[in-house]
Amino acid sequence: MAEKTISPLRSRFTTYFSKPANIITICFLLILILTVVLPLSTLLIGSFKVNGNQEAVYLGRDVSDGDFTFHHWVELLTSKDFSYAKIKFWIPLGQSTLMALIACFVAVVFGGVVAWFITRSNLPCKKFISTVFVFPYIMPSWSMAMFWENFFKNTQINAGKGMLQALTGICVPESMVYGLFPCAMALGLHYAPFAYILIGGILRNMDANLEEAATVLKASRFKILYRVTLPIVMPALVSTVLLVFSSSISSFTVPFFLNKSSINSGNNFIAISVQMRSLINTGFTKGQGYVLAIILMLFSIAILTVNNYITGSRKSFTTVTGKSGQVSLVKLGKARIPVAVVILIIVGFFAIVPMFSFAAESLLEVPGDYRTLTLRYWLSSEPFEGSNKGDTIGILKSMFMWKALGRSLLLSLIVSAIAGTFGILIGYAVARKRGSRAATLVSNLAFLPYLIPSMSFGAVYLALSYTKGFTWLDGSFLILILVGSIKFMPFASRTGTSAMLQLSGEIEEAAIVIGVPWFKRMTKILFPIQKSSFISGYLLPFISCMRELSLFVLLVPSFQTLATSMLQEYSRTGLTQSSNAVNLLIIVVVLVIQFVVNKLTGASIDKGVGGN
Amino acid sequence: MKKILAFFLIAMVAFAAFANGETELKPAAKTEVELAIEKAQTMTLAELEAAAKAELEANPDLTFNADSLTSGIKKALAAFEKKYEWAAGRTAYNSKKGSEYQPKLIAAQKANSYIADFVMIQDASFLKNAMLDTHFLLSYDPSDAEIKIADGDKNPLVGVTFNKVFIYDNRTVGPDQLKNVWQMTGVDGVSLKGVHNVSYQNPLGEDINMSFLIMLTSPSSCERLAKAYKSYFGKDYVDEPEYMNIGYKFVKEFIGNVGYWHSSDSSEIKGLMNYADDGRIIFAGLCKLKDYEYYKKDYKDSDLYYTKTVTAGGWNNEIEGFDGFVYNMWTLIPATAKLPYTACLFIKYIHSAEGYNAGWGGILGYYSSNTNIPSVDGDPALSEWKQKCVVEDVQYIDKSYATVVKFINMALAGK
Repeated sequence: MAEKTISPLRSRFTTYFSKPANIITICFLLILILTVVLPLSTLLIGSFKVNGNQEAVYLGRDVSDGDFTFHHWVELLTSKDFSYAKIKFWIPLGQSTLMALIACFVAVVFGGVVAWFITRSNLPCKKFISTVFVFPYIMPSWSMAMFWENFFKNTQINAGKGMLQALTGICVPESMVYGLFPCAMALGLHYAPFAYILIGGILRNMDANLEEAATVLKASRFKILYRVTLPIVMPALVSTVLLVFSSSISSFTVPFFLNKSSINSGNNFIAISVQMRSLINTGFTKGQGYVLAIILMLFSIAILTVNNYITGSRKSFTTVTGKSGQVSLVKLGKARIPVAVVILIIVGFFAIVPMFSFAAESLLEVPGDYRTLTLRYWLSSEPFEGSNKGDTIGILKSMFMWKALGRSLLLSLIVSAIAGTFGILIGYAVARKRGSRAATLVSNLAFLPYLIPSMSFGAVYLALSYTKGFTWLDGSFLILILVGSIKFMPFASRTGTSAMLQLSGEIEEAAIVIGVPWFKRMTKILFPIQKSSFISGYLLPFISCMRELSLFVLLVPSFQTLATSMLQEYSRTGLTQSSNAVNLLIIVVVLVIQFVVNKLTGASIDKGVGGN
Repeated sequence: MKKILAFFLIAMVAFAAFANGETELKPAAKTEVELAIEKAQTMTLAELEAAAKAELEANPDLTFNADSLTSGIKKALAAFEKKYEWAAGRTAYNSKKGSEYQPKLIAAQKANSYIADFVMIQDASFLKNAMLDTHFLLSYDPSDAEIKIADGDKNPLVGVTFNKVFIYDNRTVGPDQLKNVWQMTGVDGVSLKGVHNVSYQNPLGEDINMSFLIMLTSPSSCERLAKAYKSYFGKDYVDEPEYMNIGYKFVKEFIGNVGYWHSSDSSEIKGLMNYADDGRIIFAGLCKLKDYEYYKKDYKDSDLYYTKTVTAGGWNNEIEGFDGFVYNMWTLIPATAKLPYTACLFIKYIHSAEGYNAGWGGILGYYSSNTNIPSVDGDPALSEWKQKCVVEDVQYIDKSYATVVKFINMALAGK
């Protein structure tokens, strides 16, 4: 029998695809090109063409829809007409960068410090602090801005009486209420749970022997922090900065909401994201809006490059090995109680008080008048009187509300399942093929959706759903799942990659040696070891999806489709009681889900840090 | 990073080829919808009712979709279903915010796809350039013996007209405080009485407010402003080199003097009493006055609620210069509508007294384009508002947008 010869090329092909990490890399490369690169390219193309008849009118020359042009770039970056480029682009860019950097600082310091106390000290009330610390992230970012304004506004700045003034008579200066600083604070506090989850997850898993060895070697506390602790948490730290910076600089609602002071006060701050939204939403200047979106993405890509450089230049971030590890807690001594009280006050103020504020607002017939308590915005079966809101009834009695909440829940569960699983697989491929170009490309592409402005991302998929061959996607639930899964994948891929990089290769190698198949290795060995981090990879997309609006607003067939679209409708039509009630309902649902997940799996978003 | 950039470039080329596929609408001589509208135009009401009924019966799986920013359409649809039992349960109202709805309309126009059977939108420039010039939104003229519409409002067909005016709390401000628009530039002095507490929605987030500022630089507005200037300062306005005309001067000084930039007209009016101490004057839709909650505690279950509410807030329609801004919302039929006869019948219905009153009747600040329908008691007629207010003019907005918006951006940056 003649021996069958296998060509070297086929042999290489077979060998390459015999490794699960390679198959995953190639599959995701294809998926990400289709779902991420193509939408991104529409932004790029849009920045070089005339986008519609209105833009052609704006250009004022002999151009028509679809023509190629450099005008958007030249106009936005260089026009001296009424100092246009300076005012529309350069100044807002500088100020927004400063805002995003302050937000990063607040998030990293606040989240990181609390994470350290929870994971590495004998602080009391850890479980409570850990649970409530993630509340600000569950709330939509604008609700934190709303709370900030409601708390600090005062009559000295003609903004009406806020909670602080009502309780203490103190009137803070206008720069504390409106402008760059409060925007940065609101965003920093909103994203502090990111830092808490990511940094805390690593601190918790870190073997204390490393720090103890340094102590034995007489290293100073600062040196231990600088040379041992910080390098180990560096991937999480950089990931946090990347996520917070990207989110903050492109955040629209917070800077739009907290920009109410007069031009002459010096506190008026027009963020780059507000400029971008106004450019994109106006038919005359869409192309300039796309230019801005691309530049914002380039900013974040620069941070991503730094991230890659830092994680790529280190040999290993392994903190979980097959050997035993231990965590010894730092004893706070006499400072234990005072530190706990301070943390409880700060965390309680930003995590619990806003929830009470939403509850109170939903129960007041006349905002601010506590003599007008009512449950009708929750329980009334009768349409509301005195306003032109049609048949709006109490949210708990409204079938539309229940259906919308059910759809939001279903959507978030499916999206988190897809994004979370994709994140783990990408993390696995990136960790196993670390340093390879394909893996780096997949890792970077998986993060890019985070950098695309939500509404633009939705608009691209909207256009797709109107294109021949894809019209079945129009108004469907599937398109919401598709955009949600892609848009929220970065959370999961970051957590998945961080978790996989922490795992020593020897653990899986041992299983390979005894012939354990790949699926079993993933489900029985790797997943259980890093369960808390992976569960975070599922919960973060879930939470983000539950409170997301901009991404879906163009794609939902009706405002009654999702809970957040109903919230927006109530808010738009002035039914603030109902919008506060829906906001609270969303937060409560997320907390209940988190509780159920915790009871069923023993994991939770904060357990990775130290909830238990 | 180089790899990513290379990918972008390759994908961009690929996508450009893909995007240039067959998605462009090539207007045919006459579409089915255009033909249906033409036919409907010649029908009596009874014939149109029969045609709409037949259309719905022939398409039992279809729902009549009405997209609109105003919830008045929701109430009008409910009344429409009551009147025409054969349409009961066959209609749907979709609330669509302008800036979020425009991309959907553009996508549907580019792909020549179905979006709705009836559309009600604002923003004159978007309507003209993106929807009318591409023949995607079509007008049906519902005029008959009962429905009188001015020729200028027929194509495109105006559905409801709105106005934004300067609203205040009647107890603390009153009509005597704001008598001349130049007060809102902040000029002080015993006789000048500058006003410093004007609240204005940020034009970067609200197109209508941007259109108003643009329109203030138009020749007709300049005439009004010059006249008011003379009355206020006691001398003629003399051209200043830094301003292209008196409108630019007003816009710059007005923006500089705005004391508070609110983010929602509804919320701002709703809490007007919270600003009673600072005497705030809010530029907002007159129709939003219904949301003022001053009397809510005492009258919410009473028939007097609305009457009391609109007396708590006030506005002055004797301001020298202008009283506010008037703009339209148009009622149109997409070229891809599936139920065009039903759309025509519904348009006829909301222009009739019965349909209009079901959606917007009895409320200040809504004006039908049917001149037979008067504005509510205590609210001047639309024709009077148009004389006293700055009126949206798409020709001027298109022509001047590029220059004026740059100037406005500069003013917003405090430069």
